[in-house]
Amino acid sequence: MSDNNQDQTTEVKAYNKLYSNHDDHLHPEPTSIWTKYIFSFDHKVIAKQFLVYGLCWGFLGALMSVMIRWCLAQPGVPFPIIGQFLFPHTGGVIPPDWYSSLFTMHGTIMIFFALTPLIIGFLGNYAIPLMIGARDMLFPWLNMASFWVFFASGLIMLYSIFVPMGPSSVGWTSYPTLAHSQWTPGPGHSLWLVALFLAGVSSLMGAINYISTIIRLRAPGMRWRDLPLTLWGIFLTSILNALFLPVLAAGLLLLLIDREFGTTFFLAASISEAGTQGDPILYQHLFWIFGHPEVYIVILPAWGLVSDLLSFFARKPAFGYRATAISMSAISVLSALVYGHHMFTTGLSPLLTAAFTTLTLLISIPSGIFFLNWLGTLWRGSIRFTNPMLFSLGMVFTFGLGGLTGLHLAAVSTNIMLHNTYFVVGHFHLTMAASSLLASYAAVYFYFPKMYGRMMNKRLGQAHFWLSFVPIVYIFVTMMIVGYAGMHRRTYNPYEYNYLQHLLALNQYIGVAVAIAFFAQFIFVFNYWRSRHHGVKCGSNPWEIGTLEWTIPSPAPYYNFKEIPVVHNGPHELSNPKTPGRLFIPQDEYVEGVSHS
Amino acid sequence: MMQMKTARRNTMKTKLIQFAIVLGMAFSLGMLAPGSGAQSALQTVVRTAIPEAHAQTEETYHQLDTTDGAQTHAVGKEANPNEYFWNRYAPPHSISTYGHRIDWLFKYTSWAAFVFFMIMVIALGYFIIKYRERPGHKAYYTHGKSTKSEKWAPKFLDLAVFVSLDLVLMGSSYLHTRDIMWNYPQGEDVVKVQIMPQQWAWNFRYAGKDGIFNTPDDITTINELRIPKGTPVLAQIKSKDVIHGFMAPNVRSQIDAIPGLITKFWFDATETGDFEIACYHLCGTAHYKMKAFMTVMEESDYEEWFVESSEWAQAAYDAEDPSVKWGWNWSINN
Repeated sequence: MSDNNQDQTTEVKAYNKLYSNHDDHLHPEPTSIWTKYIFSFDHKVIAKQFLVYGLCWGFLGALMSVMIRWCLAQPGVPFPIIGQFLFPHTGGVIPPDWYSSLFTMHGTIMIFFALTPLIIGFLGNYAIPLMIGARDMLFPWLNMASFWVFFASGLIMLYSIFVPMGPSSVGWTSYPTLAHSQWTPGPGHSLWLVALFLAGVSSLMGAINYISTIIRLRAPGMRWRDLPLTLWGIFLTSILNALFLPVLAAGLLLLLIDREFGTTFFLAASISEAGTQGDPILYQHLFWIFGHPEVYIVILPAWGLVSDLLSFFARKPAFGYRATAISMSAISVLSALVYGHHMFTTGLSPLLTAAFTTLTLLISIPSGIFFLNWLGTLWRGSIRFTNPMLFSLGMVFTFGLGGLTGLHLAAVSTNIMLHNTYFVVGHFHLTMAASSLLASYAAVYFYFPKMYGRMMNKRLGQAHFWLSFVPIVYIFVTMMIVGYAGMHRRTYNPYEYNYLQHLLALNQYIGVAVAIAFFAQFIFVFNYWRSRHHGVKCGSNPWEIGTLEWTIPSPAPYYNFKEIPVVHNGPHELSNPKTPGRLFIPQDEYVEGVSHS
Repeated sequence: MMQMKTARRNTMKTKLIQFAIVLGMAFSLGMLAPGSGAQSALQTVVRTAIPEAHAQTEETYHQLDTTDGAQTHAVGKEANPNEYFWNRYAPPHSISTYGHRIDWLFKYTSWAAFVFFMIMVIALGYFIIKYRERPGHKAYYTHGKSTKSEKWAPKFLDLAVFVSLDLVLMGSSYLHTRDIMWNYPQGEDVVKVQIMPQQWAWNFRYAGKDGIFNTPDDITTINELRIPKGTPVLAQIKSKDVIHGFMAPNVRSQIDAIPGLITKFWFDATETGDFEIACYHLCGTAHYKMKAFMTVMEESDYEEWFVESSEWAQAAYDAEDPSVKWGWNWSINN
């Protein structure tokens, strides 16, 4: 695939005298296994590393969710098969302290070690250079370092599960003062803090790289309005990451110092041994200043990708490209101003609650705009039901459902009733987790041909979609029903309360749906594994679309672009009536009357 | 060309599809209407589809029915399997003077969101079926700015959502803040309670006969909050160790208990009986067992209990025991 690499290098160097930024990023193709597959500078290899690592963590996180649901569906019944090995002292029954650890680690793993590497690490790394016509990231070494710091952080997180006194058990939010060593002793939570801090460092490295790459390495002629919406999403995500991860890092570090060195940043005077005054609420502010944008960090690339995929497979340009990009930017700005709605029950000043309610509800304006633009894209299209399209449509559905139920939680009066109930759990899983996960799968199905030069099996993909999508919607809608009925989150056995006992049946159905969704993921793993070598071979452009990554051979060669392309068109020039008979116009092709010079 | 398109749009088939959509919307809306026939149909479907749920719920209900009266009351009527699906899974019935406002807002939001969700689903389904790729069908090239209606339709719909949902929520939240969250009851007859949760129990403290907190005649209870019906209760909450969350689902009010910071809330019960109080904020291993009962009594019964308990407390007071002095000075600024 790169036999004439040397020639191309000289050729390209001559061409690129004008564009010195691109020139810096031609390094010789590595030959040894270590430099090619392990410590690789190549953004495509790093993307695959993030993908595999994210999927492994995703499996662990999903297994934990199955165990959580087992507790709620069958309280006091031993967990099948692996229960005996994990909890021999209780005969296989998940004990309450481990239940706390399970939901803590489930949340942490799914957000920071599964969704982040999938939707940001994999999609960002794979899509950015290919979509903007670059040979690699602007800082390839930083890119590699980002993965390996992340890898190390994952190892620490994994190790923290096996230390004495168990892993962290204070919820993924890690609120003091429960998170202090007086109430959660042992190394588990300290390691959790260190691992999360390192994961933050890794994401920050990635964010800086993504932002600089998108700004500096766009192919000549690629204006901001020629950028695929995927990259708009990743760009905004990276900005949010770069701005708010340091705030989280500060909070985690102070908490770690509190735990390890006996300071009292987050301890009240009445309960600290030294009698010095700190404030547990301060941590919540620090956490949610990061924590709310984090929701958008995980969902923005998904929005961008789905906007693109809907346009590609409806065979018409994205409806209201400009409005979508502006809406996503507006949401990114607003996301920083609404975090207070996570703290409505902490005795926040009513004046502040009113302000945060208003700001939160304002988000629905830009969200509504790009959501309706999605429907507009489908309107009068010619829709191809490919696997990426199925997952995108599924994402539109789950996000619509999740977005509308967010309104209940935005307003303070309904929030104080629903706070900490399963209504919240159902809502944020639909908006953030399910939507982002479906979009991640769409990304894998979409880029698989470019990664391996083969297609994934369509039938297996459809089975994977339906067996994931239907249970996912069922699970989280039912969670909202039990939440409204009053069931609060993080309870080992909700049936301790009389007013929750009638919810057992619904919880059991959720358990069944979770099992179906869990096992359906193995279809995907099998499909991925098998299609790498046995999938149907495809050409350079199996989806018949015009963005730059589909102008190069599949699998993508090491240097990506033989010549740095010059961009003349927007990303969605599909079914243009000015070029009758043509399905699409590649971004780097000049067509009189359509393209800009 | 234009004429052909217009002609196609008005075919019988298109009209049928439009009619089906309107019918579907009407049925979907009717399904949730209280007491409607469509709702009964849904209920039947649910019961047929998930018979175990029905049986199990009924069983639970009968078990509870045979235990003591207080528990049955705490469960409330919503566990009744003979009720509609949505009523069966409704939250415990409201017993506070402001609970119905929250319930109304929840229902309004759910309904309006449901309407918009149905519009979305119907549009999505319609587009998926009508605009699928097939021979002879070509996508319509537009960037969403080709006609005036393309340009304004999304904005108009977005505005409709904003006005019908967001503005109502904003308004209600403002009124809620003004009337309830920032409108604490005042006067002599307000029942004042100090609540101090700890891992994993609820401590309650009343000022006793002298009306001053942290004095020997204070009544203290564990996991049992007694209040009179029809009198506002103002509670100050402070945690002993980690953050806990006070929630009485029947009251519809939730407040965090934070170490080192006094938070407060109030409610006014309209019904006597025993109700459950739950810790809603993760507070450690036995968080799920951190339960208390709230007993709402007739005012005369409460007075009797109060006076008697205060005297008992005075008599049994042990000044040497530091654990009895956990209360704090009641101040209007707290």
